[in-house]
Amino acid sequence: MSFNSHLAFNIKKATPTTSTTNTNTTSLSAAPSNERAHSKSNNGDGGASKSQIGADIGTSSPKLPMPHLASKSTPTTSEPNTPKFNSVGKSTTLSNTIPAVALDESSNMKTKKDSIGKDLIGLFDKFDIDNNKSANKSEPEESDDPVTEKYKEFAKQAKKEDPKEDDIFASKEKKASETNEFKESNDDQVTEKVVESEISEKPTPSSMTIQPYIIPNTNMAATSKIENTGLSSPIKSLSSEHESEFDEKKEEKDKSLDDITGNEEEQSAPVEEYELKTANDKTNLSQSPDSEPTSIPIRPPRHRNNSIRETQVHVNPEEQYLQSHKPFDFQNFLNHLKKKSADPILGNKKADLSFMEYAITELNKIDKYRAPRDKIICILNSCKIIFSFLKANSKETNADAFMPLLILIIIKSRTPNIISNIHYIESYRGEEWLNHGETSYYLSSLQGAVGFIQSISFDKLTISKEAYDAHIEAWEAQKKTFEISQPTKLVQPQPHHLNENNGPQHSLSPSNVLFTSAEMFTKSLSNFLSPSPQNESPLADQQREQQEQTQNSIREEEERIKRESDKTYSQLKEMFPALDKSILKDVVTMNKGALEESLDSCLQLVNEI
Amino acid sequence: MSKQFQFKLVLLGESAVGKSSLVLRFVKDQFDDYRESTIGAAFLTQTVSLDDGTTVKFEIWDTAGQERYKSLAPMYYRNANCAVVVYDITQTASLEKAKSWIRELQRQADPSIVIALCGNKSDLAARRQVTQEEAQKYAEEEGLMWGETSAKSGEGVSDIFTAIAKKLPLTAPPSARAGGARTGPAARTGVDLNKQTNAQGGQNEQCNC
Repeated sequence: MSFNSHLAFNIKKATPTTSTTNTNTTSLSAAPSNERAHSKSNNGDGGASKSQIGADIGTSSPKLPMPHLASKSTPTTSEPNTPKFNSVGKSTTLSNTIPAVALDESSNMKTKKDSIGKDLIGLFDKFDIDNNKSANKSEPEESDDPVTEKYKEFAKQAKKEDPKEDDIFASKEKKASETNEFKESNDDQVTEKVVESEISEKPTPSSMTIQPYIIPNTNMAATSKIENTGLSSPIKSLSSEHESEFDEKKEEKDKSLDDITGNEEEQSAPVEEYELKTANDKTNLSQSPDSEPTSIPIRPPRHRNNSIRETQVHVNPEEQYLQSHKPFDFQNFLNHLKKKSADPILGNKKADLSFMEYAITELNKIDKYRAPRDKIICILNSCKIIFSFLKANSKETNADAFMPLLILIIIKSRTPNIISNIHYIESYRGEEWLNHGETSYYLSSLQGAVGFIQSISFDKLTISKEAYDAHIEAWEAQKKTFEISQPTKLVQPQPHHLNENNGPQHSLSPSNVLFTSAEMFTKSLSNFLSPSPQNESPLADQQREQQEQTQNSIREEEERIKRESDKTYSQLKEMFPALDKSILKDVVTMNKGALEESLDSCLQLVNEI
Repeated sequence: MSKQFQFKLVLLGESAVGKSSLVLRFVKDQFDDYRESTIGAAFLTQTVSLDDGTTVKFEIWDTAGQERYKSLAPMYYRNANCAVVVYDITQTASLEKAKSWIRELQRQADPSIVIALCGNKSDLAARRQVTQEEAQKYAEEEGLMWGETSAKSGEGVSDIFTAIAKKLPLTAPPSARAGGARTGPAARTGVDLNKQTNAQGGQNEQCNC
């Protein structure tokens, strides 16, 4: 179970669309807050203990670029993927043991639960315990086909939990106002007391989660357009409503976005449609297929409502619950993969993507652990997924088949600090472990693959020169537009900016060293406080604005100081003609142009002379 | 009485010469009960019992044979105690490739590495392009072990691995050998934690923050 919740969570994060189908009341409240925090709090433990959330936030940050990548690299393809994930999630709902693959036990992520005692990934164990405690909460999320009763139960729970959760987030983050907004929206959902509404709500986060990762605003609009065209009209307006809400929060007036989202005035209208929709869902759930043509066809196929309706027809809730919580059967999982992928390696897109998501997720965990062994386990787990994919596709599980996939996974995952992590493992892992055993093989493979990627050249690829050049060109163009759209994104330009602004002062005296370093410190502080610029998060723009503002204020301050300094300097020059001019300049600079303090300093100097 | 040794064996050779099949045949044919399960066939282990009661455990590292992954090979053969370079007797080019692997091993791998040249697909003798004499002569010149195998029929497979096990120096424990391998080209740049602690002992007194 620990593994499952974890896995499910990761998949959700990796493919934002997945989270939309799996979300329910809690996760709805949790997910947006997470978005805001750029953290990857588990939806599952959203309502769990405070400490858990804290720990989660603390540990999750290094992994951030991952969802960004996933959604960026597969913005459109990830959508059709969803059903696949659902079914996989179903099969992985409760993994106790996997007899089929009894591999290196300590490292086998699938036997995590069994090896709690000796397991290295202590974090997961913690997860496990916490999840057990809040079993009621996390289970509906995991179970793939939650029944209406469950949902209702859950909605009640969520109602209880939500304010607490919001409080946590409010304290964790400094954006209480936003939290309140979400709180309101949550309350709305709960007060409606109609569970199905949550399902119809699901597309909303998807547009929200994907949106932040699109770089330029125009693109953002375009994507949301694409998103929305696939959705039914009520959902469309609903999601637009959310988007506009979101925009408000961001205080970002994106006009192109407004074209689609409409204005904020529309906010009341979607609510009506919303209710209409819930009514439809109700009828669906009460097995009235007649209503299908009228209400369903506009709904996107990726919606889970269909499956829910079916299960409602045939299975009673308890049976369903049991079924969704039966032990994980790895053979089933493999068969499932097999079914999905008819073609060899990159044959079936869905299976391929899902396997890649898993592998990427595992590999990306490497940056979240400290111990070299834990990091190695992450590598091993990723490799295991690759091999299970190969096995499922009846491919040979040898190096010839493995290596290209590993390289692909590394490229796709864009694991933060992967080379540093490898060096770290090499430096601190026990020698005998490093030179022997399976782990060393996979570590070496990873090293080799990374080296291959680093030294990759055209002749090592199987594409034509023209295609290669075209890709490189496109990439460079994209990079350029990215840089243009993110002028203040890089940390590096800042020292440059420093030099520009302090140019005159630099010439003033050596004491500007102090001054500069002080300012650098301020800047590094502000950099530190403002989140990592690498996240294309919904608040990135806002933060950028803030950053710009701070920079502007700093600039203004600098100019003010400069003016004062000049003034003070000229005054002091008249008052103390005996003092060396350069010393005067030093004094003025040190006192940041303040006349009185400079005067005092000068008087002291004169007295000493 | 029964000593167990562990050796790292790396498989090299052009793709499609049957490296993986060879090792799968070796691993799956015998001692199936003892076989440790591994993630995939890229890394396998197999234990060979010698006449004198010692057992030799091979950790078999498969490598990707494609030319483009040639740059990855050093990652695999560093610290390797033995290497099996496989060629296809029906492909002359594969022997040439094997020779280049052998040259690279002699130049860059651990000097004490035991290299075996292995002509695979002996069941396809009808389509043979590389004669036994030619390969054997080359092996003798270079001081290599040589044998022909058929992964398909299993012929000669265990023989060549047993021969390697016999030839490996069974005097020193493997850990010592592994340590010695560090002085090789791919010497590890580890961190001596003890050393650092001693060196920083004085500073730590001043600053405990």
